[in-house]
Amino acid sequence: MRNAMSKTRRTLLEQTKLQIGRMSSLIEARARDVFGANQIMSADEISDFSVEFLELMVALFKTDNPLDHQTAEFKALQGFFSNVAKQILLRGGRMADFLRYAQFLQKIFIEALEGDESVDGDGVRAILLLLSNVFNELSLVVFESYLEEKERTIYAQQEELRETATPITEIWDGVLTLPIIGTLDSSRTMLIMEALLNRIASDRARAVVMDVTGVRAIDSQVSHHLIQMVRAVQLMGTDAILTGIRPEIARALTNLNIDLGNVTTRASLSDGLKEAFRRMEIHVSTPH
Amino acid sequence: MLQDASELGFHLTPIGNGQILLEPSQSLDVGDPGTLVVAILERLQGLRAATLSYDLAGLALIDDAYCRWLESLSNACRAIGVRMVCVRMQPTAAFGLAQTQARLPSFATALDVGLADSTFPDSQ
Repeated sequence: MRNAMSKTRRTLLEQTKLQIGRMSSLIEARARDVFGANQIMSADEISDFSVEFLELMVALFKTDNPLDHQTAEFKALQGFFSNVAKQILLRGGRMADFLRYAQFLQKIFIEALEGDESVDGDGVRAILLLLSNVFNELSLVVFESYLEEKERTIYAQQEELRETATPITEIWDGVLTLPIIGTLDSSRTMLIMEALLNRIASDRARAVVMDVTGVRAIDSQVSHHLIQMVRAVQLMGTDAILTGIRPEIARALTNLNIDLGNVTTRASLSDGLKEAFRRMEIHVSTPH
Repeated sequence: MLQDASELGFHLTPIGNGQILLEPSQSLDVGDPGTLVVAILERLQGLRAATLSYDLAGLALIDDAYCRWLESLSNACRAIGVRMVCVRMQPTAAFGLAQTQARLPSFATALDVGLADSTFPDSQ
């Protein structure tokens, strides 16, 4: 078994060394077709890729067991593929193209054996098994890189959504406004509360006007979240003013036995701002 | 003879106009509020305090026991004519308290020491 492996990797090593120039030309030519045309990889990068890839493959064939995924040589090859895959993705390349290209790289090694008459049927089978094992693992690496990049993109989009979902504005020195639009569920309340409380601390806000004109419907959970938010603001020592409660929301709050006794409410955002200014003794006048 | 305040886990500093700043240390044992309240009130009277600003800047979280301690000290201060205001509550502490408490605590709060005059709940 050990001898068979030794023969397999020796054959691959010899043929790769013998035909390295031809293999390199083929690898570069295909890369130019796939990645060069749409500027995903430059000519220099394609050339570097070819050289490094063949060097890593030669290093792998020199190890006692090229199928051992724990060797430094195998890990180096995995790392190399992972980096290239990420780079291609970042530049707008398609993962399917890179996977097909990886299959092509495998084919190059198989074709290199065509002229070698010393390899019998068993030898060919062993070589094919070895190559398919190595390239399957590399395809997995490429796929994992693809998933990582996708997850990173989704996370970045979620972050952006979070920021746009909590548009806290300092409308006057020490006065923050927070228009709440859409549905207020537990996770969103947490996000808004966290952002709002940190903003109060950093801006040293004296008053917060929370406008719920954009809240379409309210149930016991949402109203509970609203009250929690107001409470947290008050605990920080900041005045909380709730504005824009539409009649149907007011009726729902009454039906739900929600006590707004401790909460300052005003009809509209502008009334809320006036109340905040009044408390802070800010006088705004219009010229006549 | 008064016990040393630092041994009890707090430090009182007069900051002018009858205002006293209380800074609790890690060793403050709120499990024994009786002794602490008496010790603090004796000092406040000695300093002719009108307002006590309780500094919460060092507390990332305020649990039930600490909340009860603040309420009991606030009530005791009221009994001797001193207004207690909790200042510099951390966002994490406010977040946690708002989630866990069914009602607003009875003590007043302010963003900072200088703002202790216009505070909740007195401003409502």
